[in-house]
Amino acid sequence: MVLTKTKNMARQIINTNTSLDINFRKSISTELKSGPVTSDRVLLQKRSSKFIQALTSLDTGTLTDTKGFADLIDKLKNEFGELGITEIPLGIVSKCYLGHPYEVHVLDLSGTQIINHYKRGESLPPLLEKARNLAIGNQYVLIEVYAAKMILVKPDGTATKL
Amino acid sequence: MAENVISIRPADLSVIEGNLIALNNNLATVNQNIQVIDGAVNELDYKQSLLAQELNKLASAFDDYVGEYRRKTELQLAETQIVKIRQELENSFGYYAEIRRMATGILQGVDNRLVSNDTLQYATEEVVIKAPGYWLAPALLCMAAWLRNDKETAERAIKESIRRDDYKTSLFFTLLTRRINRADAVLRWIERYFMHQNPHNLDREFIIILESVSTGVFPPASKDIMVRHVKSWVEELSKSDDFINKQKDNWIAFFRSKRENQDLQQYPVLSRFASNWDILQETLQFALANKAILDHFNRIVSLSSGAGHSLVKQLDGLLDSLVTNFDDEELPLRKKERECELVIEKKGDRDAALAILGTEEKIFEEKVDFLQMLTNAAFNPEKSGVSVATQALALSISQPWVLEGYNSFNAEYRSALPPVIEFDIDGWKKETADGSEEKALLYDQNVFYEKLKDEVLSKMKLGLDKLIWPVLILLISLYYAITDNPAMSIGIIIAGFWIYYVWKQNEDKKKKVEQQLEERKQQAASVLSALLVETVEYRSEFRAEDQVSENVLSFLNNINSEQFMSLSKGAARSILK
Repeated sequence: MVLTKTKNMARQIINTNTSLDINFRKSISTELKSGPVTSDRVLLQKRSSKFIQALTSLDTGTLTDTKGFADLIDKLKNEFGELGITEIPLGIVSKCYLGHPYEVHVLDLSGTQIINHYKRGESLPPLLEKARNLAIGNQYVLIEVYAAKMILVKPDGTATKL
Repeated sequence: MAENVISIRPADLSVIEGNLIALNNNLATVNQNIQVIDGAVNELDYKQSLLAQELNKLASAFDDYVGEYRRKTELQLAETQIVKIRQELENSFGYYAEIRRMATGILQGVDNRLVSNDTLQYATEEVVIKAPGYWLAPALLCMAAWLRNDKETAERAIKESIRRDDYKTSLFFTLLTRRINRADAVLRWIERYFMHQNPHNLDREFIIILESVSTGVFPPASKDIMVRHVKSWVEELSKSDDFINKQKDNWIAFFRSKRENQDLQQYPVLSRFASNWDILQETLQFALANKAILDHFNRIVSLSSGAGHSLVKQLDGLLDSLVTNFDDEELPLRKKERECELVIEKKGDRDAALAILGTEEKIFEEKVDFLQMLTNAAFNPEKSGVSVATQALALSISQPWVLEGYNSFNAEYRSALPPVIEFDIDGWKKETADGSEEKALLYDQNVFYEKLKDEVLSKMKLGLDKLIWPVLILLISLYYAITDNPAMSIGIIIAGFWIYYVWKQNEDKKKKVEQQLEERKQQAASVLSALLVETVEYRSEFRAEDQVSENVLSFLNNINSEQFMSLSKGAARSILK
């Protein structure tokens, strides 16, 4: 379940003295399949505050078990289902608040389904790297990265296509 | 043996020599002949080039003649044709022109009630008989019947007029009933007019009607009709992403065009030392566009005041052109007539005439979809022939995709903004995110120069090659001084001085280099300080300019505010609600 061990943390988020495991892999039951390309008008609907909250709080250490991850995927499925979005992003990138040296975290939905926290200077998966710059700025809380576009979500839920 | 003696005597070569001389003479003659031929060939060549010139002149004169002949023929043909076409027009549609003249007179007569009902009835009935296929004839008859309260005739006439040309009849009565203030009738006709419109393919005059309705030239209830139709059009066009995305792209391009074009002068150090300055400058220039965009939108709102009077004129103009313009039936002949007119005007130059005709037709047949019409009106009201009031209305209807486009524009330049400013000061390459790393950077810079100093000084170590002679002299002098001749100790002194001199020179050089490096370090440190100050300023200016986007967003989100609605009198934003 645990992928990497991290040293030199700036502040301790999860209560363990031996090692801090911040990267989290899915359980097998949380499969996500992407449907046909969704219309821009549907894709640009306002995201709910619950959805934003769920995805931005990945740093607080709530996802320490499989159930936590399954809940998160459920929330994502619900949100997209309610909005009528059939296309599932390759990944969702947002600013990481674990503190230095962590910069962004990524919910990779492209197959590996993993939550990864990336340090400054550490490369993101190739298709997601383009979202990094926007994620570390303060204007957008979530960047949904699709194969040919990005949907940027502001704190109030407003979505913008790039 | 005697028989074997061969006697040699001198040969007589005089004959051969004579022949050679003759040959030589002949050759000279041939040479002369060749020179003569050469001269003749040169002369021929000259004559030939003269001839070619003459021929070119002739060919060009011939071309001119042919062109002139063709133009004359075209001109004659056009002059003959135009007479024929006009005769045909007169024969087939002569009455149409008469009706058009009458229509204007009748409209004026209706306005000031100068003509009696009987005369109107007689005149309009005659018109119907004379022009059996023209929609305007029964329309005028209906008007006359209406004025004298002959409901039955009016209804029959209007049915006929609608049968002949539903669209023009609807527009005609929409304009006419508005002109004579028949509120109920206007509403029914305007409904019919809107039903005729195809949002994919709107006529040029549609924007005038839209503007008139939205600014209250038509009765207030007509706004509901318009809102209903416009709403369903926007819904229809929004079904596929194509139409909206096209307009959105137009808007993004418009926002980009508002970018600051001047080079930014306030960051001299960054512009010189930052290796990613070009992209830094570009992103700030785009962020500076926010102010220009806000000004543009504010100007639309502040300028879009009452357009009533000129609109009424435009509507009357529309009515006038409806009754005075040619009918569709006449168009093929009218087109030919115009072509002949242009050929005559261009003095027989058919190609030039056809080019003008092509442009004229394009303007005449120009049709756009509803969303494109809104975009045209919002970007350039003068060019679209609309008032600033319509510009504001168009903007308010387009609000959803203007907003989308603006958000994308913001995201584009924000995404392009480099997270770090990379710089190169005197070969020392580093980066700063926000200019706050001065202490660490100064330390790093110091280390860089220390290393550089070590490197340079290590190369300046006193080599054995420079000391080999004085050391040799020293050793030899030492040997002789000890073993043989004490006077040789002078050699020791000389060698000693020599060694000291070489060492001193090297030390001076080292000191100089050290001093130069120290100066470079000081200068680089001050450049670094200035660069960090400018980085802080740059980041803060970018943040401030980017923040202006919030004002633009708030403007766009509140485009249906009371202040704005009073200008377009309720029509604008209610459309999309």
